[in-house]
Amino acid sequence: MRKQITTLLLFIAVILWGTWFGGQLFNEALVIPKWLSSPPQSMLAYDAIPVKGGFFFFMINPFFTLFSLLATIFGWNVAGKSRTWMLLATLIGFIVSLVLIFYLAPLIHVTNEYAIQGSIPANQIIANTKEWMVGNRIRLVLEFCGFLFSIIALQTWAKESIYKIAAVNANLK
Amino acid sequence: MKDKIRDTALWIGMLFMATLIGATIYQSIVIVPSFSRDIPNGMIEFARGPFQTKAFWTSPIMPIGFLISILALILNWKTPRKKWLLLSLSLAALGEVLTVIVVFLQLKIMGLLDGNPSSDTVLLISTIRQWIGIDYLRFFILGVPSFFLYLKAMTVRITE
Repeated sequence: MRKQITTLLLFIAVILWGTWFGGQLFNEALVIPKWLSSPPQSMLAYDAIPVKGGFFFFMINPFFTLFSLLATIFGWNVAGKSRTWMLLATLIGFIVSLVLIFYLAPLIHVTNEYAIQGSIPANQIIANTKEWMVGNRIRLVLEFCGFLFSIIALQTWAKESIYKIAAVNANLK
Repeated sequence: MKDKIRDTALWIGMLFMATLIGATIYQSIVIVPSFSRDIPNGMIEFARGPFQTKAFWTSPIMPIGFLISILALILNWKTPRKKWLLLSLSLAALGEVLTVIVVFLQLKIMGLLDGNPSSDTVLLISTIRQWIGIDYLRFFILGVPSFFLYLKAMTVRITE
């Protein structure tokens, strides 16, 4: 039962990591280059367009970390090598979430507000957006690793299951 | 060594599949509502605006990812993963065919390829509505099952 639950949790974790990463990549390739092409003007232009991505990110962000963590907890005593990959995926999930909540989201939110209000000089807004873009790319690389590790965890877990079944069968003989 | 190459191809294929699913969800949640709220004016505004969705969908990542998925199928041909990968990639290929035959023409009419939506308002309205429907169908009938089948293939046990 524990094994089945772990497998299911790993499945869900991979789906969520993949969805999140795909969406982020789409955002990085399509939205960000236009949104931050020439701040603060491009930010003002973006603000006027009814295209908003916040909900998508908000919706999935905590869940890939949560499911990676649950898979790690459930599979801890049963897993072999896959435990390391589960742990790594969870760790990256935590780091990404913390960086997003405490650094990247507040930075871009405040910068966007400043750009709309025009309350700080343009060069400060440009500096902030450059800082955010670098941070966001680092986050994307981390997310790629987290996603890859979750895939490796799932596959390693599946392989371990067959070896364990083979060992049990050998003992029975 | 052979195992590693086979697994790596499978992982890259998975990355491609998931990217496709994630990007489609992002597009459905973030981009589509921006023009579907007011048809056809929202589309005309969007097509002439700064966001060119073709920049993502026509990027080399798509064909490369698909080719690597096919490579994963070839490398796993003699394994129990074959049937799952074959099913998954058949659905994905069907999606590609549907895209080339039907969706590209719709995107052209909607102005998403060149920024010039059709001036025939009746045609534009019906095309936008058809495209939204086809995009959902393509995602739920072909994309999602293809993704899950691929995921299933990854967990199939191989004993050698």
